[in-house]
Amino acid sequence: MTLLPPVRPLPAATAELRSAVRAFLAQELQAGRFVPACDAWLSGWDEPFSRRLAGHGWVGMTVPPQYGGGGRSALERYVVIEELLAAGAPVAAHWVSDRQIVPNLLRYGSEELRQRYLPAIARGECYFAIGLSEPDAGSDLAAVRTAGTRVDGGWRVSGTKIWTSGAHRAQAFIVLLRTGPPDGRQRHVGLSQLLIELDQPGVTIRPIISMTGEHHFNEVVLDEVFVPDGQVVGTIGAGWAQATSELAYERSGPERILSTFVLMETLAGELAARGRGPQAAQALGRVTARLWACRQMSLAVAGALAEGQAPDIAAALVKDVGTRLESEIIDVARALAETVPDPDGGGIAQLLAHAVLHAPGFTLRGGTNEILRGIVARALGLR
Amino acid sequence: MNDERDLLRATVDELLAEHCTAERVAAAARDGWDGWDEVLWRALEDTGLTLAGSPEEAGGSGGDLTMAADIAVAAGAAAAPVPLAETLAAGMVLARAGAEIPPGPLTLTVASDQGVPLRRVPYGRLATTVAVGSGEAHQGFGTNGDWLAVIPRPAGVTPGRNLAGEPRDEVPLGPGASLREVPPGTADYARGLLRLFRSLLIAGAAQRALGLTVAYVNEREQFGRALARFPTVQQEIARMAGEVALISAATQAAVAAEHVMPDQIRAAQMSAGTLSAVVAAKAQASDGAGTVAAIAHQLHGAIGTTEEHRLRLTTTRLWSWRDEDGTAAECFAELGRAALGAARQGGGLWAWLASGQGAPGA
Repeated sequence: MTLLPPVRPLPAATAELRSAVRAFLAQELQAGRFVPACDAWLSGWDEPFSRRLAGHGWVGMTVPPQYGGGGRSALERYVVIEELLAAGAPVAAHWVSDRQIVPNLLRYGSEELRQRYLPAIARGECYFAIGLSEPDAGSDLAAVRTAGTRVDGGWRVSGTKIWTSGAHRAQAFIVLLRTGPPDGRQRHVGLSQLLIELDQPGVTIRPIISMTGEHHFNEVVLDEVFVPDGQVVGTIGAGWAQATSELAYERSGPERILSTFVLMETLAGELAARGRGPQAAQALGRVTARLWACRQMSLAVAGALAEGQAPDIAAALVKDVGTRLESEIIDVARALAETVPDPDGGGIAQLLAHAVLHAPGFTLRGGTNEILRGIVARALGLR
Repeated sequence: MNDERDLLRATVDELLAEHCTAERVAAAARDGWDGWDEVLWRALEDTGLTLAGSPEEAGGSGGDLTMAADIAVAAGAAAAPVPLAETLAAGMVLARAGAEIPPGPLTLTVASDQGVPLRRVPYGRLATTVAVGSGEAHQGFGTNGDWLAVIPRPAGVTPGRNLAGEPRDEVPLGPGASLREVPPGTADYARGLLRLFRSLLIAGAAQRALGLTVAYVNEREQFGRALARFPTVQQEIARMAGEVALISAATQAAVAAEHVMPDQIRAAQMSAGTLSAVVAAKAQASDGAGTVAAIAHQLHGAIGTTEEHRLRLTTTRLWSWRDEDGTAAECFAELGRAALGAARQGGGLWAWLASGQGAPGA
């Protein structure tokens, strides 16, 4: 029973890249071009920032040169995104394009789709949303009811997608939908992926305001939207396998560990300046050890993915332990910060407020932790 | 990973499985057995496994730290009642100090941490004790710098034990000991190795606890079905697996960090305040050990708490080892102080956390 791929250090050559990203972030901060925030990969939508980042070749890094990218490795991308996340940089605009759409199109997209979208993504100009969840298909993703009917030259699509982050600002999304009937109890049969532009007749985007007052999520209603055959991603009927094949990337990345890191960094800075006692050091040490260990796990999965393996169990475990750590960091900060969460307070009080209100989402998005733990248990041989 | 490594692991696992039956592991801790299994020890010694990781010219059997680490994880998983990890670590310290490695079982202790007489020395009653210290330790023992004493299986040992019944003895630092000065940093190196090997033992035992628990919930039926069918049981198994994986990741990373680090770099990094992977690994291993043991027992029910059941051979070790060679609290505090130090400096917490992993200057 092997839970985890071997842990290995990042290639030494990534050190230079890391330094370059840090230097860029320091410049941006000095120029006051962004304010570090918790969970900025969801909430920090900043298109000029995305374009400046792309100017350095750090958006869509793995896109091959013939599609306008730098052809960098997945591990190089890992280094860049963990530096951005640790700094609380506003990466939400290009996040889905960079994380999901690039690998999806490189693996399944037609030449035409690649040519159309990948260069724009690598320029930091093309933003995507995710079209998976529906009102009645949350954890039970195979229950999607959005459906496509075959028409001349394409598909006529109707249905409702929900929790669609950034749909009100994104250009397109890739939708998981039913294009054929399930095969008895085999519900994964008959599902497909279509790439649908959001700015077109028949698409209605309704905001869902979060309890923070922020607008990230949307409900997207598709009413008889015509999608030409050229927008089919991969193979009709293979949507389930395609949609779930990239989940190990989504579940094991540094965004499952670092959503509250800015709070931890700020807390450590305050404690260091204030000169706190041994109990503070111990509490900070506990989350430090856990964060460090989570990162080693995440790197082990990243290394295995880079070698073409599919470490799904380890990836699910990273998400479970990592997202719980993100909330533990909030508790340590609450215990030691000598302030209460204040949405208008500035400094650590404001970071705390933002983190507390975002925390419930950490263990929901990307597959709830309970569902993931069920997957882990079955993989360990529990029936 | 590679064939040679897999072969070694398979060989060690097979040998340990043959000897470390529940009966023999339990028997080693009973009166009259001296706290160990000598037959197992001879078998291990014959294969040269007890001195892996120490160079042949010093009397070791060659191989690197990764090899020694794999053996220690296997020993932890098997609850092997022999000073195997202790001998591996002591051999490496002797070799580094330029001293010859004596035959037979060895044990390692840091005298300046333990005080004199040397307290709670693992297997002190039956092994040659290698004690390392900094500065004056006891009545003329010690020097201004780091020193190392080899104490051949001494008379006057006061026996003690840990929760698992493993020997933890008081060893006198008497006239039979031979003392020598050793290069600066030897005591820190020994302290790091003790923490690392204790963490590796925990990693093995944690994996074993998970394996035992998975097997048990698949076989035990209540309400007409296997415990494994209950979603609450599945959730707890996965939570346990998460902790086991964290310990495994942490200890592997610590081995990798130690392995690639020549002494000069180690010294430079210590003064530069680079994160100590070994301290972080021991912190994580000690912290997770309690969670793993608790879930294992909860899912085994009352039978797991009996002397007769195999589980306790593993969990009593987890509960002992988590507090030996640095408790979680000590390691947390040490890490936390280092984190605050990093936060005080320009680079901040993140640069320190990511150090040694493709970090600038690494």
